Amino acid sequence: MRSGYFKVDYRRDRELFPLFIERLVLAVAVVAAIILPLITDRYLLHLTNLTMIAIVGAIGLNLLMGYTGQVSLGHAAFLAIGGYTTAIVAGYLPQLPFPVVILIAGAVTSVTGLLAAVPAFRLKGLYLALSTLAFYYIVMFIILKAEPLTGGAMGRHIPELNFFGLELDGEYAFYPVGLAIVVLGLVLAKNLLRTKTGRAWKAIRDWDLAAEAMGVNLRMYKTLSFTTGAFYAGVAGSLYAYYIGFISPQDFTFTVSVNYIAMVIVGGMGTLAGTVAGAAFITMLPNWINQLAGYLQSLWPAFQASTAVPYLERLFFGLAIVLFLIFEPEGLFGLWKSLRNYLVMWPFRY
Amino acid sequence: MQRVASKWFWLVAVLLVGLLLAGCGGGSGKQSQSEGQLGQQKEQTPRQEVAAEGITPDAIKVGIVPDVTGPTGDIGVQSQAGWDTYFKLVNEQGGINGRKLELKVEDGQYDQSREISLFKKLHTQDQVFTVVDVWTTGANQALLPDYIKEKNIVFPQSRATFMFEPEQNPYVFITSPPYHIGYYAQVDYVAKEKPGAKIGVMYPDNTFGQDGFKWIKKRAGEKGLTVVPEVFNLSDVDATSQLTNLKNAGVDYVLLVQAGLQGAVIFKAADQLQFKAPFILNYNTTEPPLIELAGNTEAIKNAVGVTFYATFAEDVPGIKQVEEMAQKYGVEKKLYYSQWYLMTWTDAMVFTEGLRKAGDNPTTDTLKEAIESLQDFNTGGLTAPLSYSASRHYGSKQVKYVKANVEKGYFEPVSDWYTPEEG
Repeated sequence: MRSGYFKVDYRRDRELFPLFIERLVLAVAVVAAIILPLITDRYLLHLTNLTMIAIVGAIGLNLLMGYTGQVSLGHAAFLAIGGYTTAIVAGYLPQLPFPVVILIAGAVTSVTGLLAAVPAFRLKGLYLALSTLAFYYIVMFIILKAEPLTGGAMGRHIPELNFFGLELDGEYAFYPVGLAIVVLGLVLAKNLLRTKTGRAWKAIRDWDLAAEAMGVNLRMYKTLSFTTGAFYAGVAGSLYAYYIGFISPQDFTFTVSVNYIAMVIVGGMGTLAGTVAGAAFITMLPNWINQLAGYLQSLWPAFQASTAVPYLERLFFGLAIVLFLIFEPEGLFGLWKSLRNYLVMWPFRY
Repeated sequence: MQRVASKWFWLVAVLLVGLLLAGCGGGSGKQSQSEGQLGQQKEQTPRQEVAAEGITPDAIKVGIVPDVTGPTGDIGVQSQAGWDTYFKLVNEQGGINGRKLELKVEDGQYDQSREISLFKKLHTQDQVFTVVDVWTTGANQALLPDYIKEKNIVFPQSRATFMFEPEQNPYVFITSPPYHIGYYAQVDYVAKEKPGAKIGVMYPDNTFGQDGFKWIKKRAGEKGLTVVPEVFNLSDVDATSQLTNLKNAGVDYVLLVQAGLQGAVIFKAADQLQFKAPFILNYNTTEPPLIELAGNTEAIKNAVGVTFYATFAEDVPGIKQVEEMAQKYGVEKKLYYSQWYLMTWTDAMVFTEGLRKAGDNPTTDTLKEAIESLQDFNTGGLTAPLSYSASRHYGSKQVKYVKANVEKGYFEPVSDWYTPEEG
């Protein structure tokens, strides 16, 4: 009698979703994704769109932090580069189909990821984190000063999503685009992690010296991790720019980097399913708090919802991170894993 | 075992709270936008056909997105109080054509992305008639296409000039002049006092600050003044290095493009450095609480401010009404003693007057036409008389120069209404 789920042959190892429960959840997710625009209002669809953008960006950070163990405080800079590349390319070439623009944004951001990777050759941990922070400030400084291109602090408008002359505008038009890119991003990342590169990243994360001793080229794979993570962030920045229609440096504050780190921690470092859950949790949290405050105000009219919301939000945000770090370091994915194992083994506990 | 139990307790508790909140969200949202409920009300009150979203036979629901707790929250709460108190006054007088005004407030926290989301929430879940106030220049800029799409009448807190082109932005109004008129007035003062002067400009490196600097630089060029720029952001807590640079540059005046009470930080640093050049305050900084916060500094005593609204030193009916209503509704002095309160109070005057004129079944289009038809609208001396048209969506082009009366804690006018010529 097996005492859990184990991959005992190569066929099982190749399966993307080996368990029935996982396939069931996937099927429910597919149905939910299809019917969501039909049953939800525009605001919730707007939040869903923002969540999808966050998922794409968080995959990038998770590849870097969760799978390669490279701490980054500069993720907002990659998002900004993707956003501004989109604003510039789509601004000058409005007839260019949006998938091309998004790819260009991803590619340009990926190249800047090369620069951010250089300090990682020699630095680790806190020192690497500080170097990515420096990278963030340098990028934001350049964006502010390159006014003819970026609009400086005044920001830039972005034309609507253009698909061979067809303009896609609004929450409902963006939804299928965002969904397609999220699915594509997840499938690509999932498969990438099963290749030699993915295994090398995990080896570096677990112990870089041992990885090097086994023949893993640290420089190459760290650089690959940074460029891939930056590519995802660039695509997310591009989607954000297209979706909101206007970007300025205030859209890419340091808080954005912190939020992405929170997504990865809450969702579960080194898990793609956790990335989705973490991105949804952190993006939806302000809305939940807002609704809670409104509910409390309806119970106690003296309760000032509008002033309490930010404090409640910070409280829950901090609490969620601390509690997950202490009690479930694998994040929401850890919870899911426990539930999944419980269901697989049911009625036995072990 | 105990450890496992406590781990699960905490995790389940957090998840349950999350789920509960999610549940609250869906529920309240759906309730507030229930078409059935609206239909029921229609049947109960057959006197009117309810034409627009957010309008029931008894109420007009209006949203605002101020900054309540962000970096400019100190003035955001004043701005919110202005809308709130004026709506109370209108409701007490019977409302607008028999309907009460309901104000739905969402805190934007000076976060563009959040403000945009809340704008959508107010329209979609709360189903307001219009979101009449959005805070940051950046969010307003991003939302300009949405204002057209939603036909949303807005009196944005930001007075950035580019928004007040009715051909491009037909639903955006203000009661004051746009910012550039105020910046022109700041430069004009210096040009008159000391032709050819060298002026320092302290502005935040964001959309609002860059816009202000752009206009000041343009006007200074026209008037033959030299400009020395210094960035001072809204969250900065010390101005010593910027003022040292300006002192070394030998500037004759310093023009502020700031918001909230950042002026106090600058004035205290100026006193410590014995910085002698007088400050010319932009409209957003000419705030009565600034006088108290700046203390007994030479900088505040010598400062000249530009204001779009009356000051609390003036004996005009508008100010009297503001003070009486504040007393009546228990609004604290720290809230109403402010340009921002006067601004939203005046915005609310114009908005409600427009609604009255728009008739029994207003839409935002009829409201827009009604506001555009206002001529020489009397605000009781809070502003110069306001006039709008289809090609002009700001009510006035007139400003006043003021100086601080440190003993009494308010700004006093040192000029009558003045119209800076367009450059």
